[in-house]
Amino acid sequence: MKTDFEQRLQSQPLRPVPPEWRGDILSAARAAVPHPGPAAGAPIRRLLSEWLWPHPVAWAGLAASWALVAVLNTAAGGPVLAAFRPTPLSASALAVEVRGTEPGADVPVHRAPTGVREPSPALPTRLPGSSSIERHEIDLV
Amino acid sequence: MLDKNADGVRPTHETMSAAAQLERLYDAHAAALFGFLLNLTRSEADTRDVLQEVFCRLARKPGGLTDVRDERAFLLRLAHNLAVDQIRRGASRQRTADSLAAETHDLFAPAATPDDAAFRHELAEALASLPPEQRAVVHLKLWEDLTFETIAETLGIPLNTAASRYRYGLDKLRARLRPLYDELQ
Repeated sequence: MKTDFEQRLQSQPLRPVPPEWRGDILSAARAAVPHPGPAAGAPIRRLLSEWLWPHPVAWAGLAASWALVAVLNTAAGGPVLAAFRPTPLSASALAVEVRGTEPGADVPVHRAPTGVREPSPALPTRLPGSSSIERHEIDLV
Repeated sequence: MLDKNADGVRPTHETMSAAAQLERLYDAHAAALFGFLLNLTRSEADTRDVLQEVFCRLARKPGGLTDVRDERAFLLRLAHNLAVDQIRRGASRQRTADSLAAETHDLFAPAATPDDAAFRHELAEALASLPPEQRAVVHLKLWEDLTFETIAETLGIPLNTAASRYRYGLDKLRARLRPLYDELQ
């Protein structure tokens, strides 16, 4: 329940919005909406998408390929790829293979030629069979 | 409220284009938002900035009011939050202070009689002397006829706070306007 004073205040009409604001504000509001403009290269993307997008037939073909690999693997009596896997050598066997001698034999001291810089053993780019690898294996033995 | 059509059903974004929906919202609520913002910021420039920002946000999110129960209360709350941000900015505060004296009489519509004009002028100045938080509650209670519960939700304050701010604000207005009000009685 409002008092007379409150009713007197309430009866005072507020100023209306300036009419010219309507167009300006609504235009500004419409301009604030980001328009998804035509993207360059959209037809190419759509074409590529149609070509590359996973298709049920493509998925079925991929599954059939893997099933064929599994069947062949089983029929070969073991992992097909195992034949191609390198057998790990023990340190001593590797040393023998590299030196061509049995473990415990005299180890010839390998000396670099005078004036030739000794390669650093820490360099990771040395190939197997290089002098640094030989020295490392000798130490292990 | 103008936010319902002849069938008593509020048009939704599905039945109206985004532009038409925006126009409907403007026609239904812009006057109320304008009065509230002008009373709160005491600056026509700030009022315009905030009002425009309100409608820019609505345009960026068409259909954002679909699930809103009370559009007016929602928009008043959005406008209030934006106005508070605007007032907090230093430049705005300075501009408001500079324009306060010049714009207080523009809060109300032009009066037909000198007595009404004098009362509205005094009332505008009395409102300007209130703290913004009391002014916001007084405005929503008197000129939007909202309940204290809705005011509390709109301004994000407890119900008792809304009621006490209204009481303090109204007492100040009464004290300031009493001589003129008694004379006009």
